[in-house]
Amino acid sequence: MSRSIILLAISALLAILPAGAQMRKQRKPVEPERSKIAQWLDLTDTIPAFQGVNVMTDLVGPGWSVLGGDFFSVEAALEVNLYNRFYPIVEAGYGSTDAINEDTELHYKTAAPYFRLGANYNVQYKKKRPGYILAGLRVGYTAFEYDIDGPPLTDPVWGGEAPFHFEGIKSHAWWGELLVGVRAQIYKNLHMGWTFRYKIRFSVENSPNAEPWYIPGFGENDNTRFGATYDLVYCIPYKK
Amino acid sequence: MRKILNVIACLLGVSLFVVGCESNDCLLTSDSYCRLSFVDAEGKAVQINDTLTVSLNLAGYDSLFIYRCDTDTVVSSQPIDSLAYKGYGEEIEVTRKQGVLLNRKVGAKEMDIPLSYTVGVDTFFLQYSDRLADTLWVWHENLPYFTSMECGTVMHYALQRVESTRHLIDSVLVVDAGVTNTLRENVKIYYTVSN
Repeated sequence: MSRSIILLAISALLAILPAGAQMRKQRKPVEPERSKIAQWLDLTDTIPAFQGVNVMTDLVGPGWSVLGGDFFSVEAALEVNLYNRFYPIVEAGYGSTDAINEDTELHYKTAAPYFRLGANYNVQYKKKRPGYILAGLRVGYTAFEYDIDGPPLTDPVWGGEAPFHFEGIKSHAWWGELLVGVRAQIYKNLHMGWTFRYKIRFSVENSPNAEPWYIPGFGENDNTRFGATYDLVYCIPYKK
Repeated sequence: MRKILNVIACLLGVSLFVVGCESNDCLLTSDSYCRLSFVDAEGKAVQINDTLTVSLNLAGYDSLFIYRCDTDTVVSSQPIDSLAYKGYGEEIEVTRKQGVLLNRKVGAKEMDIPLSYTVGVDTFFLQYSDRLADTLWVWHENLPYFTSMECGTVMHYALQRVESTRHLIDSVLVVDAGVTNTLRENVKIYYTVSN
């Protein structure tokens, strides 16, 4: 009787053991299933998506004006840090010029706000260091009015003069920007860095009497343009 | 990391070079001309084998001095005192100031005409021979145009309509109403005869 009880106990134990092993296997931590996009982007759940907000201002725009440039601009931006990797950004600024060309005696004046929407990508997102290298895209828009004043046009054949004075010519422009940049920590949450931008004009409204010479936020009117910003960035601390 | 920084530094250097080498691309001519092309009834280009003289009435007036003695007549834009001393009678006639754009050209296929900066319609006289002539009227809107701060201003025009007499000309057609300082065909002049 006692022998049969022992055999029953051993067989019961053998029956339980694989189940126990199976249970141990199930307890082993398993990575949660990630979406295909998350896999493709190599996103992990080790850090939360939202990593904070950065506010910044550009120093090049006011600097050019101080150094005697024709154009003045001030600009601020708000950037959201996602995974320390993606940085959707809104940039808003105010560009102006009040320039006179001494050779042609032409006077061009405009002042208007401009906006850019886009995102930066931190190439060095895997490195745990406070500085990073950025690549980014922007789409910019501005609506503005401009005044042009100049000497009258003298008719070389028929004689007579035609005045040249136009005020409040309306225009608007769309453009895109491809940028690369670097950013480095200078003190605690304060960063500095520059972006180098290649600007491509998508469209601009011309009038029968002029095409804009200066487009706020874009610069001197052309199909393409190079630009740069030197940014002072404050990373608003984010408490998890 | 160093490679990336090198690439960025190079891009910055290239940009500074490009900005530094930016050239002034102003057009050499700042005058805008309306181009007339001469075509036959089928629209094919023809050349005027006769001599063609094109003149226009300019702003202002000229004095014409006419000296007559019996059957002899001398016309001059300047007074000729010696003729007056010889007994010629002197008449002074005031005429519109005329300019000549084209003087007895043979084989003209097209012509570039200047338009006024201040007036809305210009008149051109096309003289083919001693007896044959046409008059052309060009109505236009004057558009003083800002090219850039460096290149300055030019006059552009928007053609409104073109009309003519019908001696040798059959009809006229505006094919491009925009007259700028980049030459392109603006008006076709259809002739009834090709010679």
